Amino acid sequence: MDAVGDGTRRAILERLLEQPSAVGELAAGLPVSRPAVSQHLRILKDARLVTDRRVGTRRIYMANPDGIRDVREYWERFWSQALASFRAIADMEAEEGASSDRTESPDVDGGA
Amino acid sequence: MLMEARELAREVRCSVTVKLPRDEAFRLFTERIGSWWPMATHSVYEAEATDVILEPGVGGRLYESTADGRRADWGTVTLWQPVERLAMTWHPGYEPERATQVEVRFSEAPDGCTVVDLLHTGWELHGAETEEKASGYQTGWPIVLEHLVKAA
Repeated sequence: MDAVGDGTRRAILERLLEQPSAVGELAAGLPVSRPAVSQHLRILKDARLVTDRRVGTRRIYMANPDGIRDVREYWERFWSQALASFRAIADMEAEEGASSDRTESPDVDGGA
Repeated sequence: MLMEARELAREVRCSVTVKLPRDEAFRLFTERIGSWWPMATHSVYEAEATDVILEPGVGGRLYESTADGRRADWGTVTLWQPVERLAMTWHPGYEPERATQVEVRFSEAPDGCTVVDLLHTGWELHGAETEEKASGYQTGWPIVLEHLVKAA
C-alpha cells in the first residue's frame, strides 16, 4: 500500500461498508478512473478488507468482516497491552506514594 | 454481514483505570512515556529501543530512539489540553502521510483514581497487509515492521 492511495482506499472501503458495489458504481462517485479503482480494490482484496462475488455478468465488491476483524483485534490487543503497562507503572507509583505517606506519619505522631 | 463489517470498522477503544490522580496520570503518560511504554514489544526497533519521547504541545513529536542514535517517528501531537485530553497522529512504521489518529482522555474517578480512554481511528489500513498475523505473533509491531520492509 502506498501513501497517496490511502485516502482513495479509505473512501472505497467506506462506500463498501455502506453497500456492496460494482467497480463502475464506485468509480462514478470518486475522482479517480475506473482502472485506478480496480487497482485499489485488488490491494484491498489482498489485504482481506474486501471480498467479491460474481452476480450474473457483474462482479460485486463488499467489505469483508473477517479481514476487518483481524486488523481490529490486532489494534485492540496492541492498545490493551500498552495501557496495561501504563496501569502497572501508575499503580506502582501510587502505592509508593501511599507507603511513603505512611512512613512519614509515624514520625509526626511519635513526636506528640 | 454488512452491519457486522460496519460495526467492526468503528474506532478502536481501550480504557484503563489507574490509582493516580488525573494530573499525575497525565504527566506519567506524557512526560515519562519512556518509563512505562512496553518498548521491547511495541516499537519499531524492539529490543534495541531505549527510549520513547513525547514532546509536549501541539506539533510536538512522538518518537522512539536507540542507544546508537537511531530514531523512529511515531506521530505528532495535534491537540494538547494538559491533564484532560491529547490527540496525535499515529504512524509507527509508516510514512507520516499514512497517519491514523489517536486520542487519549483523562477523567477523574472516585478515590483519587483516573480513567484513561484511548480512541484510535483510521486503523483499518494499518496492519491489514499481513499474512503473518494468523501465524501467531503475540504483538503486532513486527507486522508493521514487515510492511516497512516490504515497502522499502
